Amino acid sequence: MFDLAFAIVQVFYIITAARLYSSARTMSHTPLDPADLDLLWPLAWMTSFSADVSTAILANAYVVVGFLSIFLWRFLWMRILVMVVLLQHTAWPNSFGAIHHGNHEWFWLSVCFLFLPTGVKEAVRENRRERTRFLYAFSIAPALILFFYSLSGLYKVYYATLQFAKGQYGGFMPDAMAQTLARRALETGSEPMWADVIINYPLLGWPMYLGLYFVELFAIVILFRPALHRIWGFILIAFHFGTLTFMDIVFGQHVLINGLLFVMSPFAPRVFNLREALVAIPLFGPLFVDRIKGMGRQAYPAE
Amino acid sequence: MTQLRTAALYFFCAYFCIQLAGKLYAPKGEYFPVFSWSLFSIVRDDVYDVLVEVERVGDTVYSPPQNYYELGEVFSAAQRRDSGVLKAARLLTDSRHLPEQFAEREQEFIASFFQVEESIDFRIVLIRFDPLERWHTGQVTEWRVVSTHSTMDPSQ
Repeated sequence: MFDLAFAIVQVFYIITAARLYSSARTMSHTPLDPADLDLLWPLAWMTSFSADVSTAILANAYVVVGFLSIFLWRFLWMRILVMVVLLQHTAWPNSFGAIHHGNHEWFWLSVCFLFLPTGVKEAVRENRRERTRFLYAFSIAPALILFFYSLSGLYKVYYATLQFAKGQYGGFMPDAMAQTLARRALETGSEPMWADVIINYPLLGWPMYLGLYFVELFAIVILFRPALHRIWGFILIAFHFGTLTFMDIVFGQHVLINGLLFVMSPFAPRVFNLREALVAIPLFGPLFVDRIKGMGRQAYPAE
Repeated sequence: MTQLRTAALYFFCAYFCIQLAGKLYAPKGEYFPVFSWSLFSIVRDDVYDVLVEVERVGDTVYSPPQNYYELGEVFSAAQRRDSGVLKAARLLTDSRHLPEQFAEREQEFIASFFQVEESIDFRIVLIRFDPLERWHTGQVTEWRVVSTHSTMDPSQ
């Protein structure tokens, strides 16, 4: 469990380095005048320098911090530096008048990892208290990501319920997904791969949309139900494949994050047990309890 | 461990409060980087939105004006279907009764999405529509120009 959690954090910092590496090149090739931009507060310092100097500072910070983080992330000061640089990295593409949210989660993961204990891997592994502390701190990362999904679900369900109570058209309507897809496609003139299917046959989208509300709203509950970590990971990845195919919205990093934290969850049972998973489903789990009674429970193999 | 649990709890509570405050009061809907993750939360069959229509690029006059996103060969943001153009256009339209803020946002909007080597005339249009009906028939229930804009020729 510890080794997998440790490996996931290591992979996070390697991917962070790769992302900063790619961005450094773009930054150094496109010096924009900060005075022309709508700089977010983390980049306010850029106005004190010329375009060339400020973008060069950022590009160099990406290169140096990104590279060093691969080896030194076990030290708190390094993780703080990565967090600061990722804050700049997230702020930069959002300083052109509008805020996009493709990079936010990655930044927040770097904040979560500040809670990790400092120390050499072997020393942490050998010390039960430190090992537990590492896993506990690590669990803040999946908790935060699931919390984000729950927030998203909460707002969707809140507005849909409010509209329903007022007798207005809203998110619970059978063609709600079709309306959402049509609006999105009309906004940017995009042609999502599969949007036509739902727009032309709106009822097909109803179960998917209601399912999405459920999956998002109860996401945070899944943190405490390891039997569902992998399944929820797959579902959330499927959801992001859906945003691409139905809406032409790319959330590549979210696919990666769900893969790392949930599909590869160190807390998930090694062997998938369908009965355990069914019983663990929020709200509907109790429906399966009687059905599986007497069928016996397969114990997980000892680690 | 108790300290860690307490710190994490405070962290989550703080996030929740700040995202809510941002959603309610921040001009761009968030106090960066604390986002509410409220995406496509409200579904309506009667929608108000804006269009960015380009009337002229250099010597090329578009009659009728072209939707910004149809000019991918001129604007890179149009080519990558950047929804930021619309988000920024909505913010610009929202500030149309506040001259100072409007001028500031107009300058940022042009700097961000109209960086070409020619002068440009464009307008922002407010429309009201049922998305499914507009998708199938192209019909909108309301259409009006809310502002017109011109960019300077960079060579002058």
